[in-house]
Amino acid sequence: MKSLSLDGQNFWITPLVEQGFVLTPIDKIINPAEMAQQIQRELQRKSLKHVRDVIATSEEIFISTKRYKKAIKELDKLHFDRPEISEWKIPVWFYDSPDWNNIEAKSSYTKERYIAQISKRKLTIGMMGFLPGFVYLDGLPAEMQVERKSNPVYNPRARVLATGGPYLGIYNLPSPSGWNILGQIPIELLNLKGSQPLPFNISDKLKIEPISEKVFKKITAKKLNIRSYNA
Amino acid sequence: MLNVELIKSGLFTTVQDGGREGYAFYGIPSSGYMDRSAAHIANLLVGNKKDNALIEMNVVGGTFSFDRDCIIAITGADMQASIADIPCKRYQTLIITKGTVLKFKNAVNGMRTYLAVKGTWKIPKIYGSKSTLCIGQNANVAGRILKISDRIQIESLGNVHNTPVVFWPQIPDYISIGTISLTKGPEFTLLKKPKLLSSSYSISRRSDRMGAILNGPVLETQLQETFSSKFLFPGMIQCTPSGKLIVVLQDGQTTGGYPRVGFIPKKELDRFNQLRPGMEFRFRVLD
Repeated sequence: MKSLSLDGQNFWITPLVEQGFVLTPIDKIINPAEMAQQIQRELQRKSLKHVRDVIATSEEIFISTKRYKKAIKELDKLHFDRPEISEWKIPVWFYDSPDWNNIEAKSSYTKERYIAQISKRKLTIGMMGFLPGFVYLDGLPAEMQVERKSNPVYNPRARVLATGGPYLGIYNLPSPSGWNILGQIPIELLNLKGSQPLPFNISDKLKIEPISEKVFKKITAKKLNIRSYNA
Repeated sequence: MLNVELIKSGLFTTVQDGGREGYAFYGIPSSGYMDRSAAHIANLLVGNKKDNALIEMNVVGGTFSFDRDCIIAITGADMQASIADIPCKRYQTLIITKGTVLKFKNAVNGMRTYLAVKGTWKIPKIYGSKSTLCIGQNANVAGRILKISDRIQIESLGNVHNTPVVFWPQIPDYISIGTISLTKGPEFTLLKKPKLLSSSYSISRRSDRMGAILNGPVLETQLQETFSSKFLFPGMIQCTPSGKLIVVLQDGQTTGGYPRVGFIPKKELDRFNQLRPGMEFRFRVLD
């Protein structure tokens, strides 16, 4: 198996027929999603001719390319800068989602205790992807983790906080969902007109603020986005 | 400028092109033609670049009017197309005269039909592509499903009546698709009975451009409850905890938390996307 060094970090390269290749960290010290974000930045600067797409996950990076060897050469020449870490506050109304029954049964936490535990933690942006604007949050303790649903169910609400496997996550759009829905967010996070659809960087910190239905409606009426809410 | 107007919209009629690149990091899928090969042929028959925008119709086609003479081509599924109520052929260059109506009915062979019109389609690009991306019925990420009275402006190129009529030599038959090849996926080894993957399947009616849910044998995987999310691309086959297979398609998610037991190569995905719900097929697992 071949390897590649990016910014002093070594990755195994696994080719995938006609799709591209996978980079897996050899020493598992770094967060591959942080490296992937920097590759994404270069992709948007148009400085990578042979990389079509990059997908970040917490364990590996997928590079979509038609020209495997040329893409590796381009990545080999990249210079990586550490992005600044920001902190964000996100208000969430934990409404009576039908998924709470499942969460309470599988985690042995009551809804109130589950919410209290989430809100006192600083969560970390682990990765993005999945659906347009979806955000994966790391930092959910093992005893609060609930497996994904056996089959996805359509969720008609936009901007919901959910949990699936080891993550908390934010669905910014209505979509089929295999995750358990916890609550709804009254502020816009996704900007599909911007070159960066989400304001976050990988490893940014995020604090959940539980709010009542009344406050949810009040904030919704103000039509705030995440930047104006956090200003 | 040519205006193509939708008189009847069909079941799920959208504008698609070669797809979107560079935004999968943010979960924005590639979208684009479901049957790339058929779409490329349609564009080549009218003299467009092969990745040009065109209209993709699903199961039931639309009805279109044209306010100028123009060159078109129809490829993919047979939707019993007619020009001024006279049946017309697929896989060849066709001339439409001003005021003529082009009608499509339901697909009788295949699932998806492509209508290419010669010229530059005046549709704004979103993240580098003219392809429509709708997540469900409500979330229009890029463009939206076409509806009655929508008009597409196309800047026509050259003299219509001097255009050579070209015939494509092979018209695909989607009734006898039979077998779809797949490459083993990263979690293939998690399958408890991998031979079951080569069984008979059909696509569920609940499928869409995001993913095809397969009806077939229940497959079991050895799985930790909190399996971390992995990357996906169109053609990747995931196995849900209930043992169902889901094939990620052009508007599908870019990461997911179910084991990836295989993926369908691009050319095979073109054929797969012409399978009608309920039609039986088998997977052939490539080594």
